Amino acid sequence: MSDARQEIEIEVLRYHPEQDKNPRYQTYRVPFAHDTSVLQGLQYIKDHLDGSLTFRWSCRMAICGSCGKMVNGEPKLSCHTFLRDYYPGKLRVEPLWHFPIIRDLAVDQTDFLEKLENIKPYIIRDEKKPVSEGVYRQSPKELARYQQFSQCINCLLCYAACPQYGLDSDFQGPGIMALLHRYNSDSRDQGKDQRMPIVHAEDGVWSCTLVGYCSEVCPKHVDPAAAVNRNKVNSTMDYFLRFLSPRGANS
Amino acid sequence: MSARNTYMRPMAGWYRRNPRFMAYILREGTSIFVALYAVILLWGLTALSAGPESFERWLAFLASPLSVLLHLVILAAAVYHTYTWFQVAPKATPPLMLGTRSLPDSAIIGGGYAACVVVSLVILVVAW
Repeated sequence: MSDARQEIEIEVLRYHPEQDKNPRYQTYRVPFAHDTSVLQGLQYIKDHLDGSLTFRWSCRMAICGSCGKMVNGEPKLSCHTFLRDYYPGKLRVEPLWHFPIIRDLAVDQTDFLEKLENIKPYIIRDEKKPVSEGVYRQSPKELARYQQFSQCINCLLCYAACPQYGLDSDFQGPGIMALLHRYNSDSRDQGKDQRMPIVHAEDGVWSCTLVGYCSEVCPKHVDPAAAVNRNKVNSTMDYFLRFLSPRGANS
Repeated sequence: MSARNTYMRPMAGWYRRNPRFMAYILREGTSIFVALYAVILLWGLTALSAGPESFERWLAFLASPLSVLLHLVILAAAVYHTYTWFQVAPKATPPLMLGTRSLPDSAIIGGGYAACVVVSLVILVVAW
């Protein structure tokens, strides 16, 4: 930031549960250069202007998924969003929508993490083969069926983009459904029967009304809206095919 | 959930927060006009079964300026509804794999529009 020439106003949502009943906004003037990210702007505030500002971050390179914030009302990875794009206007940084605020820009992710555990986001085998028998092989074509969904970094931007999750957090939500679909679509996995009840439930795919914004905001180009809506097709097939097959459908 | 003293922001007026949400509300809203058109057609069908007089009354309603205006609004809504319907079609389409690549969304959307135009033209020619 040594070559900083310009200053931009950053308005940040503040909430300290010990003192504040409601969140408030605080504005800071931050110097920036061409390559200063929103995250670096927040770090400047913390290091030079107000050490009490709380926010999450880790890798600074759009891979860890920790630094998601609302920037002027859009869910963004703050390390992957640049102050220059908002100048000469100002920007407002808020915690991700639809999550409870713990402190300033940090939200409570407990709900997502519990849901993540429930979908068993790992390869399930009926019988595990010993390491001595080698790896589970997969063709490039089989990989292509789920690869985009495996790019999810759990950053929660899609949840901040989903009003249905905001209105009813029982909904599994876009990211969870993308990850569930990732494992169900993996040719090495045999755990589909364990995951499909989560898909079929009212709070599974059927709470989605295809707003579609989740897929637009994903920084890793995952298409959660497709994962959810393809599973609506699967769930419908399963419903009707059970009349034909006594064991239920091969959805 | 944890026992932390968290703050939950209210959802009131959520659709005004982002232009993308307004576009969604508009898309869903157009279905009201599509339903209204279905009601008008059903009315015509019941009028037809009720006899020539009642069918004539329905035809007279169709020819009224109010009805023409209403149909123009419904047409605009139905066109927008159709446009958005094909835009979201790739989301519900099972992946069509071409080797290791899936068929691009633009091909599904374009194919949908092409089919829509062809079918509409055929209906127009047959009905004319």
